[in-house]
Formats: sequence, structure tokens, C-alpha cells
Amino acid sequence: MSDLRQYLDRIAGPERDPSTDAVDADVARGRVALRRRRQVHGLMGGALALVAVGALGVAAVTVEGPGDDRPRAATTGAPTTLESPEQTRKAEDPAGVRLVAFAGEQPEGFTIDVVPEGWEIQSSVPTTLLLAPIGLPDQDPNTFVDKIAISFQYEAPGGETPGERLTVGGKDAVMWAGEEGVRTLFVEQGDGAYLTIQMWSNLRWDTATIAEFAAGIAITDDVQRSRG
Amino acid sequence: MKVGRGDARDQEFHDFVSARRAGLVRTATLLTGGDAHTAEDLVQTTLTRLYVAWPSFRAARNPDGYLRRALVNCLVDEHRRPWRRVERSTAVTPDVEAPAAGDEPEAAGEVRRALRELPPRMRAAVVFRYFYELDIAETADALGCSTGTVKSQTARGLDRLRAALDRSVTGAVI
Repeated sequence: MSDLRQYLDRIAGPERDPSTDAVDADVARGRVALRRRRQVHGLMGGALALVAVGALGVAAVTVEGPGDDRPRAATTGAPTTLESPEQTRKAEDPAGVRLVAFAGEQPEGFTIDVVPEGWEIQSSVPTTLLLAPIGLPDQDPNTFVDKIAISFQYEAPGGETPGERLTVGGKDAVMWAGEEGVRTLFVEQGDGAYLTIQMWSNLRWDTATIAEFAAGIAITDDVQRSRG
Repeated sequence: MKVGRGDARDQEFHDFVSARRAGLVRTATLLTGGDAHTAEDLVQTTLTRLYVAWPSFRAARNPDGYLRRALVNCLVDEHRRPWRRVERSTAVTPDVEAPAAGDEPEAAGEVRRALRELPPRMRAAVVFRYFYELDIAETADALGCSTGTVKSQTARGLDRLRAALDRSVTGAVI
């Protein structure tokens, strides 16, 4: 071992088994962090559901116009009977599933054609494109709760749970469902590279919507591999 | 087997931490340039994130690579903060205390100072490539950069460390 390596080894210090208290404290911190995330997630889900219910209430009124031959909602007050397929779809998904054309400046490392209605690009670096509902309290670009995180990586999907295979824009893809309803789509880019899209459980998109959204995303030359 | 909530996750995580924490502390100590307290912070932050992302970690095909990336992410995040923690209360005393400056030879002190002065990613490149002898691809994966960047960062970092070592030997003053 060279002198330099010996000094680095000295700086690293001896490997000492952790105390039981230290390990227990790590577990406790993790539990607190996970509980906090779930609480934030629950609050956001409830708030979004209220917004969706409010929007549907407005819709129930606006369809009641003279000469309006569209399917009508009941006017006898809540609960509203929905007959429009689109309204039904929104009622099932408090986050809203409709994709709208992205009109903003394209981010670094990626191009994106469509975004969920009411969402924005919260942060963009060459490794990760982060989408979030507009006004989401959590503005930390390093947390992905209730957001869509898009990245480029060489780590293939793994795990013991078989993923759902689908085709995205003509490319092979696999979707892996994790705990807490989080889904990650891996779209093959060739040479062992993947475009990955992690969707938190506030998005209840069906497979077709996910494929449509993912097909609108492309990587550019300035993309950098994510660090996981 | 799908990781369950609560006890199952806790037990698995507890076993993981028991087995790996000591090594993580050593790596983190190098990544922080020999600052044992910041290293302890780094390990705690990394492990907390790991607990939250435990299902993803378990599903990773390369858990060690996942762990290295998590460490580097936390290291870089710490340096990105507009403010830096200078003091932090912990539930327990860190297991490894920083050696007193007077306890190590001058050369070690020079290397420690030089290591600390390296930018975080350059420091990580040196640590993974030179100390842990990871290959270039593994190091690039940990740092989230190209293999070319790993080569250049490692070379520059090692040059600086060797220069520090030479200074301690020759007694040169900069």
C-alpha cells in the first residue's frame, strides 16, 4: 500500500461496529421520515380530491344551459351523478389525468411534449426532470413525493416482482410497481440505457395514459445519467 | 417477497445497518475529507433516505452501487445548501470520533487538508477509484458523470494529494 493510500486509510479510521443505540436511532429516524412523507402525501391527496370535487360541482352547474344537449348532471345537489366519461375519469383520479401540451421552455437534458393538466416543471437539471402539481408545498428538488421524476440511467429494472411490459413510442418498456403505489416506467433507449419515469401514487394513470405521457419525452445530447 | 410495512422493514433495515454502518462511516469520513462529525451526518441522512426508499433499494440489481450513489447524492446535496450545518444534535454519540490534530503525523495532516479542499465530486472520485479501487464505470455510476470526467477528476485529485504529501516530506511551504 502506498504512503498516500495508507494516509487515506488512516483518515477513514478503524471500522468499528455500531452500538445498538446508533442502529436503533437510524431506524427511528427512518420511521419518522417515512411517516412524515406519508402524512404529506395524505394531505396532498385530500386537498387534490377537494379541488377535484369542487371542479366537478362547477361542471354540474355549467352543463345546465338552455339548448345544451350534452349529458347532464343531476341538479338536485350532491352527490352529483356523472355521465360524461371525462368527468367520470376525473372523479376517479383526484390528481386529474388529462394530458395537455407543454407550452413552456424545454428543460435541459430532455424534451417533453405533454404534461398533466395543472402540473409544472418544478426543477430541471441534466440528470433529472421533476414535474409537480402547481403550488405543491414541497419545493425540494431532491424529494419526489407526489411528483413525477424523469431521469436517464443505465440501471435496469430489477426486483422479484415482474414488471408490466408495454410499448412506448415504439420502444420496449417495463413498468415496475413499488410500495406505496409508486410506479416506475423504464423505457429502453438502446445500449443498456433507460429513460425512467417514476410516478408517485397520487397519479392513478392507466397504462395507456402513462404510455402516451412517456412517448412525449425524449432525451437530448446534454442529458446526464442520474445518480439514483 | 414484497417488503411489508412496519416491523418487516424495520427488521431488514436494522440488520442492514448493523452489518454496513461501520463501512459507511469510513467511506463517509473519506468523502467528507476526514470530518468525522459531518461524516456521521452524511451517514444518518443517507440511511434515513434509504429507509424511506427501502423497497427501491431492495429491488436494485446493484445494491452497493445504489448505496454509493445515495452517499454521493447526500454529500453533494449538503454542499448545495445555501447554509451549512455547523452543529447538529444527535440522539446518540457518533461511534467514531475525529482524531485530534496533534495525534497524527504532519504528512497525514497535509493529506487530510488537501483531501478536504478537493471539490466533493473530485474527492469522491479519488476515494472510489484510488482507495476502494472501483473501476471507472462503477465510479462514473456513483458520481453520475461520464467515464472521461472520472478519469480527469481522479487524476487532478491525486495530483493535489500527492503534492500535499510531497510538501510534507520536503517541508515546502505554499
